[in-house]
Amino acid sequence: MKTWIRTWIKTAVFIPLLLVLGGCWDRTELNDLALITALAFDKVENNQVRATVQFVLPQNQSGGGTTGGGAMGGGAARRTSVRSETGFDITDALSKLQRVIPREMFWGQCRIYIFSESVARTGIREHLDFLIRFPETRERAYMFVSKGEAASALELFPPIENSSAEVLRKLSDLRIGIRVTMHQLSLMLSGDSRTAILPMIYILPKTESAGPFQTIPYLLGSAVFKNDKMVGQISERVTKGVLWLRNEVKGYTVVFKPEGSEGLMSLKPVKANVKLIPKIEGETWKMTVRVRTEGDIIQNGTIMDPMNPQLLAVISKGFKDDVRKRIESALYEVQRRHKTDVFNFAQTFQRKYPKQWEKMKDRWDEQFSKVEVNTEIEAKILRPGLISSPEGVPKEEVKKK
Amino acid sequence: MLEKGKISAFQMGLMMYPTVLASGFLVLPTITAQFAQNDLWLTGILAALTGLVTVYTVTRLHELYPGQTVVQYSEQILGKIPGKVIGLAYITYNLHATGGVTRQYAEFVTGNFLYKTPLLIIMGSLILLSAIAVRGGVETLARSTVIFLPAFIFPVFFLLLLLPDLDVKAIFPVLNHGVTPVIKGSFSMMGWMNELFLMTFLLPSVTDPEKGRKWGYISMITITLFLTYSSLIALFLLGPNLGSRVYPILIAFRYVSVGSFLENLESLLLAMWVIGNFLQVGIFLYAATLSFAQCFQLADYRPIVFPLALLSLIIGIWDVPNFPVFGLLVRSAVPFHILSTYLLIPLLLLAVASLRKRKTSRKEG
Repeated sequence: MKTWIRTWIKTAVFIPLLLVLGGCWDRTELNDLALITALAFDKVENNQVRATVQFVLPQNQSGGGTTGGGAMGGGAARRTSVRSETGFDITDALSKLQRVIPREMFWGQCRIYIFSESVARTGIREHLDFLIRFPETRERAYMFVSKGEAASALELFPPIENSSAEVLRKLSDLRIGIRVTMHQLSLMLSGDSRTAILPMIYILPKTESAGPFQTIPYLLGSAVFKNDKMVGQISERVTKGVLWLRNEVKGYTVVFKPEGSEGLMSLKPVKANVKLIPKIEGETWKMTVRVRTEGDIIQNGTIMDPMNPQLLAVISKGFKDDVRKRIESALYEVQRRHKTDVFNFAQTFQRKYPKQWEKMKDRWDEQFSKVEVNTEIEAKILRPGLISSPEGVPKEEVKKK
Repeated sequence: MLEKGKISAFQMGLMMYPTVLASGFLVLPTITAQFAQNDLWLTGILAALTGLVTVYTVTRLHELYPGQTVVQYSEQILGKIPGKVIGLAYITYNLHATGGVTRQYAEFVTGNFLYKTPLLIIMGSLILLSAIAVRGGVETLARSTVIFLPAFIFPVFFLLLLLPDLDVKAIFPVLNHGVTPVIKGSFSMMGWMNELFLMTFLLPSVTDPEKGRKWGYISMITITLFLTYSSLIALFLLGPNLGSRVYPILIAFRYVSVGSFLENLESLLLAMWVIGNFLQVGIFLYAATLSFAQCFQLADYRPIVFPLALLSLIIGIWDVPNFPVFGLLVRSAVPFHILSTYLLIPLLLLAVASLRKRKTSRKEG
């Protein structure tokens, strides 16, 4: 009798448990969520901030790529939509945004955060605090600064990807320009030099045949931050030099003119390994930039035969000089004009000379522009590509020596 | 003898691993980094030394008074009344620790995963599960450790996938601010290491107690290695930011991305954290129950498991008003709590006990 009651009690307890344990009672399914793909920060009057989110329109996702495009009246399928709202800070704006988005905002897929230039110039600290403190955002998301309004980059309907956010992510993943994740940005700003660099985005002028808003945002140059404020902008050319100094060169193209020749020589992919070696001698702080780089020839506009070791040495020297020029122009621009240590010299000094660094810490800004930089470059050309001697040049005219 | 179950020394060593690490490895990197910054990996050495002392003390005491736990032999060593006082201290402290560990687990889960679930549900479900395990006796605890431990250890190796994102040079400059910050940072880690003293409640059930010390040391060394490993990964990833991140290992798990398909591994961390905390709370609750039963000389400890579990749940909720206070507690008070209950009292007991033994042997001789 007793065991009979026990069995019943157990069953009475466990059957309701089964109902709860399935997790169905508070499930959140995909059609309860608005998948946010990008968030843009813009500045409006009264020191308020405008948040613009781009979210996925689910019904247009399937089949969108090939057939859907034509069905949408010739233009690109509208696979995303944007909403924006203004608030005292970003959280305020986002909570207001939820009022105009019927589904709960889901941040796990948001990989793109864009600050407008005016927001960047007034300071991004409070926004970054939110992004890092909020548990739903991802540290691997990419950060950008937009020229002009940040929201306009999200309003576009790119012809090739599903959303402009996806375009920005793919462009960043090509590693042509600078690529900064939220985690890296926070590291840079809390590092010893308290500087940061973020890629700038512009909107590509649309082609004539494209419909309205049918274009993409793209990356060009970069924005330089001191503390948490944007202090300047550097060109694409200088950004490439900065990439060398930050040791972020991967699959790069280098075009240069070897000594004593008419045409140009192009190398791709160029790989590089860059080491910063700090040295303090008395009052002067020195930095040696040791670059080891190598590349394959992809185009030869000269009449030199790269298979000839002597000529190859000439070509290599041209390569080396070009790398030096790139680095030096970046140094000149950043060190003398912006006086902002985006190369993280501060950290290398701090790690090697902690005592001297402690004394210099507060005066680093002025000291940085005084650091003497030497370059030690070792440049190698490894392969000639598929052809050895220059194409379309008769054998007799090819320069052999 | 209250506990009829039998475990092996090897099982005991395994049980100690989650006891120290489950709560330790998620928060210790931050706490030690706040004091020692980039020298946090050195704190393991000092902590290992205290771990050595703890393991030696507890096994030596068990050699002197075989088959007894600290609650029992403290009465023999110090006399009835002081012994009972120490017994009471262990009851309260073990209950308090059970509550604290559960609270820490629940804070992590509500803060990062189940935002809407009340604290009570999360804490209650874990304590209930652990209480059921404790009611099953020490063998149940030991077997669940053996079964679940791989699931607790294995995910840690996924952190190696972070290798491309790690900056090994973040370790420099070594000892920039001298040894003092390292010693300060060691205190919390030493506290965690002292939890190895909970072996005292397991040793009487061990069939081969002579191997207890060996497995204690092995467990201690693996714990130190794992703590140092996770601290270093956190340091290499977060650098100067480490001290300001509440759960650095969570960030590390979230940051893993291999070929953009192996991502968002934090669910793995949560699974691991649930398993580890279940085992840890189980051991702590078992220690609290056993100390209570032995202090008041009960015939069986099973009837009091659920009441004590409820008590520790209440302690866990009432003890701490919010996370900042909890953080302050863990940083500044807990190391000294643990240090005094799990290291200083046993050392005192050992000192008195060896004096007594010498006295009696001199009388005999």
